[in-house]
Amino acid sequence: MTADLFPDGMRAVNVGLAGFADSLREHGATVAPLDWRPPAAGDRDLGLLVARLDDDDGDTIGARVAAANAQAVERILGAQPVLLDIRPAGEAIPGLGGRMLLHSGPPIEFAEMCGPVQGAVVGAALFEGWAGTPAEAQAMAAHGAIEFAPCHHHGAVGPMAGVVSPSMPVVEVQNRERGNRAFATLNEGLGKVLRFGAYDESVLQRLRWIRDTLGPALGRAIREQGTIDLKSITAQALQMGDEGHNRNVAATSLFTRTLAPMLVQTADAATARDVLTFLRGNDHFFLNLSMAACKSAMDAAHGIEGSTVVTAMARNGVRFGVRLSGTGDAWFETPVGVPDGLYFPGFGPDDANPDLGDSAITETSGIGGFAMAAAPAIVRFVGGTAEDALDFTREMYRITLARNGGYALPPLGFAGTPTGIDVRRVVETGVQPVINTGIAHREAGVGQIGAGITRAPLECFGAGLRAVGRSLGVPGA
Amino acid sequence: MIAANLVRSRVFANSYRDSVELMRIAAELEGRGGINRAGLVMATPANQGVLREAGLLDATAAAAGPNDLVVAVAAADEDAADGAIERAAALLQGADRDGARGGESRAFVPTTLGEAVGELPGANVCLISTPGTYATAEALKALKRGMHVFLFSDNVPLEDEIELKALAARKGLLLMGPDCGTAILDGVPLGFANAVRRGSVGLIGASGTGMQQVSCLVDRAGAGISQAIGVGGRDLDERVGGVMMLAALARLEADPATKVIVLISKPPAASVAARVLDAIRSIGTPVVVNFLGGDPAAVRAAGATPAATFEEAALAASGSRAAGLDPALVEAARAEGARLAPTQDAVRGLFSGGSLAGEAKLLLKAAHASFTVIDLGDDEYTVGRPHPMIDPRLRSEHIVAIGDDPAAAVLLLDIVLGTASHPDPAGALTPAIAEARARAAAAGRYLAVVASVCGTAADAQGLERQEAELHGAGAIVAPSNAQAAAVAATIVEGRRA
Amino acid sequence: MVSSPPIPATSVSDAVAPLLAAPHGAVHSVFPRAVNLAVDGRLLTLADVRAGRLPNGVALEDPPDFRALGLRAGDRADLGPEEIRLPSVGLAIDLSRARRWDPKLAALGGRADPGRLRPFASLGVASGFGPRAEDRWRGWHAIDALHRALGAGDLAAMLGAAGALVGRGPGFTPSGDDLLVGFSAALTATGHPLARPFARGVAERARGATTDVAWAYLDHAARGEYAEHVGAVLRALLVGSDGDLAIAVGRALAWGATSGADALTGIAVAIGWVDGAMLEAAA
Repeated sequence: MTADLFPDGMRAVNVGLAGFADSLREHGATVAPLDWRPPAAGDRDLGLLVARLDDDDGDTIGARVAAANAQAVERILGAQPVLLDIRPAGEAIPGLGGRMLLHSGPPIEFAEMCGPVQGAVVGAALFEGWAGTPAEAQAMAAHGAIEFAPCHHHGAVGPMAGVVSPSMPVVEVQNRERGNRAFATLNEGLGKVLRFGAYDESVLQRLRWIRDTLGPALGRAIREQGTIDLKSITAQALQMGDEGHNRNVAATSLFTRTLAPMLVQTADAATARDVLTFLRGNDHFFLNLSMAACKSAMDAAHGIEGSTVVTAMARNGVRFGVRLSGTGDAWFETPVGVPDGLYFPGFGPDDANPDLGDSAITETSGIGGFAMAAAPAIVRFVGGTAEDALDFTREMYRITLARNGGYALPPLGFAGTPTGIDVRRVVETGVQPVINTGIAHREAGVGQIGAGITRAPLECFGAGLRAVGRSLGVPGA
Repeated sequence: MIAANLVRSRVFANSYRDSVELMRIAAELEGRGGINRAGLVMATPANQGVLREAGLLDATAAAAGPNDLVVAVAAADEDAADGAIERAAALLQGADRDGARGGESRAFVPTTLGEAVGELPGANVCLISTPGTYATAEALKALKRGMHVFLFSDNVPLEDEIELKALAARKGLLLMGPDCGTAILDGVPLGFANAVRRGSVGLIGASGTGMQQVSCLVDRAGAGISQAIGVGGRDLDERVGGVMMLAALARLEADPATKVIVLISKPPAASVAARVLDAIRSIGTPVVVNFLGGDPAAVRAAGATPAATFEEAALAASGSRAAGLDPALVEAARAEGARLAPTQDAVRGLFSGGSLAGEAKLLLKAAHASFTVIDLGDDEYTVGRPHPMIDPRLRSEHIVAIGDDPAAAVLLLDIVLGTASHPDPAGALTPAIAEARARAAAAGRYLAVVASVCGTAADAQGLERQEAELHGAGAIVAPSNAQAAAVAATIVEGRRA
Repeated sequence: MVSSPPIPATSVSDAVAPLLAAPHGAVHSVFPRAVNLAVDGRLLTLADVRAGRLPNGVALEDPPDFRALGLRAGDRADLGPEEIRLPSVGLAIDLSRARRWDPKLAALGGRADPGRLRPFASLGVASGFGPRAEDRWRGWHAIDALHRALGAGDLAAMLGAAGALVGRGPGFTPSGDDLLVGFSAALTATGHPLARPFARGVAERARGATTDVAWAYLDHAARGEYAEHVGAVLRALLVGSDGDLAIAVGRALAWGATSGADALTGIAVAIGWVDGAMLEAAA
């Protein structure tokens, strides 16, 4: 009776020469399928760093990373975002005061900002009454009379230019699970809008209407209602053809339907009519709520030492930035390019602005492009088939730590959305997070000229991984 | 509509498939030429009724029970019917293998070690043969996931080897390598290894072809191998300290199936040798030690049996005695020697196995023969080229050149069989051997050829067949590398230029 | 000796907990995410908890692909209150932290509005048995008869119609049986007096007339025991919101390939949504 090394049979993984696997199989071993290629695109040191950070409960570093990631994932999956209120940004957002504007993406100075963002800054300054003319506003911004900060640093997120000024009404979302709050402005709709850098009178009028009518009316209705469960709306919407970033019509409809009776009750007839008309015409209204909800979940998972989970992906039109749970305030940035996609008639890649906005917070938390299986129509923007949409989501499972059962995807057998992007897996496999995105014209104020599917750049994740390695004292990080 | 004269069916027991799969298969069958209708259903009474109404019920399907899957076709002729049913059977079997991943990518193929382990829960061993640059990271990942590691890659930095072996030791896992070419675990050959009988001889080695030779000779002697654990070429260096050899010794000592342990290696660094011999002294299992060219006294002092050659080690472990050179071989050698021309006095060894080359060198030197021995598996010959055990072309070229070498008396060769080796190594060399001998003859010389085959009857190449090929090419075939070297030395005995 | 870590079970159905005392069973059938074990003449199912709890189930957290592991029908299973072992593939299921679950469907009473299922018609509810019209029609006559018999309160006629549906249709749980499970569940949940006698009668007729797996579900239905996803749909229909219903229907549709849709069809028939429009939609 031989005492075998593998009493239940040899189960082998063959890394390298394929021929070695053949004799294993011939002798009755089970061999895993594997189409190996050098990790981290052949960068030896980065590949070794991934290995050193891999889970290992017998090793201090490996155990720390595993435990930290488990905690981060638990916080993301356990998040319970609810809409509490709508009130002026200057009141609700901590640290927003004086002549200060928030913007999307990682930190950036006015002089460097791209066209649409500079336009939005001008528009916001005019809206706040800090300047009387665009030229004045421009000068103020250029000479440092306005303070700038990323939305992300103040618990906020903004689509496209993402400019937030103190008088703008913002949604106040609370993650009931941990109590933290997140904020976003109200979506203006399509066409000539501030977030694409427009600042003419029609834009300012709409901003005033939002400040004076839309915001207060919705806020009153929400306060009367109690709270609105954003997670539940998102879960339903994902089963109705939305993905939470580029398709929001189902969620917007559910939201409107939820709030309409209370709106009618708390507002006068004309206001209720105007608000509901506005919501009827704005298919993307829920986007900002979706973003704030995702932000509240990711913020809860941020700041866990040793965690390799990605907690933010954001662009300011010049650079793409990534944040990790375990590396605190650091942004890992690289220059950002123009997204690949389908252009509206009359426009082309030469007109396009580089990728812009905080809306990638949706992908960061597992919806948006990660949930493309829920919204196959999106792939039309890159000439793909419906099966491609499913494959995008399947691909994202490779770089995430968990599946969010609360957000089930019908076409994938109700599998949960891929959640908890692990920078180790991104670097090792080279699979870049996929992002569904709108494409803006690079001149301020022209607006959206297309939509597409883009990928987060690998450099950010390599830099982030090295930073985690250094923070844990991994040799050679 | 095709005139359907023929109804055929087949019953599959224990075949549970969901309705979509079955309907898809049915749809595919109906798309085939000559098939009018097809049905795949569980043979419940109700479904048998449905089949009857559809004209698909024959005696086979009628006799089936509710837990049987029936595939029934109505076809224009027998060939179409049989073809369709075979196709259905293949699709049903394929569905078994793919394991229908419901909700996951049908086309997903892992590209990383972690993903592969995800697809094979309970993975317990990892073979790594990537370029050395990447090997350390893969080995780390494998050890972290609790797998034993067979690390074939070379060019792995020494510091990495030390780190990996320390991690392996902490986890109680084997890290075989770097530069480990051979192992046999639970009777399964890993890397370049032979199909040898399972038995009670445990083998631990730092030399790949040395392990192959010992294991084949153990098999030839009628005994078998429990485990053959490679420790990598550098394990017995000072800085690595013989970590794996010591771990393997402990493991085999504890293994109830291993009754004798054989250690093979180049002579270790002094401190390491001492540590290994100390370990040997304190274990109960008998140990045979071949430290190629090492001092037998120290081995004996540790209570182990020294062996000067791989063959001696194999025979000692198998409970046989080395019988010395077969008199028939000696006679054949002398006969060859008598045919040599005056300029011929040297042995030219062309080897594919490094350890076998090393052993031959030692023996030829001890016999005071004039010789050169080339290990064509050495780095200088294998840059940008496959190893000679896989690709015989370079060795063939060298063989032919020896035909023109006036001093060359004997061509000495090793032929290594087993997994990963060339499918017919002897046959691949015989044309070159013939040409070399012809060239020598044309110049008035006689080129003797001596070879040994390291392999077993169970190897795909077949030991007997390979030996026969070499005989046919005029070679003297010795049963071991050591004997082949001895035969070569005998042929040139007394001839010194 | 087990080669992989034990798989945690999160719940065990009350209906099959007693089977864990039998020391041995055998694997009956193997699927990628589920295994049926034959124990003392009954079937016990090990399945992924994400698919919903089953009346004869032990729900597992993150099970491996059983087929890919090489588990085969006939392999031995060792059972115990703390653990189930499958020695042929070195797998153990850890029951120590599993909660007990009662698969009995509560009679919530009330009436369900048949129109609430209408939005889901395009997703496969009421799709019947197979993609070809003639397949469906063969089934629809029996369904129509069942519906009319229910309206007349005629148990004998209901059982007659059910007899034509037992074992009928594709799949290893034939569609007709799945439909009858959904139908019985709806009767039970609405507190219909014929619910239990009907389910018992169907189980009797189905013995030997359908696959083992389908019969197991009908047997549980005869005892008022149903799968979680069926209960969720009924709860949402009777007392839940549209959102609850959408999610519950979605989860039920994920069950099997058409089993979920067939069960929903059964529910639809029982609550009165059988009319020309439905037959047309299915055609």
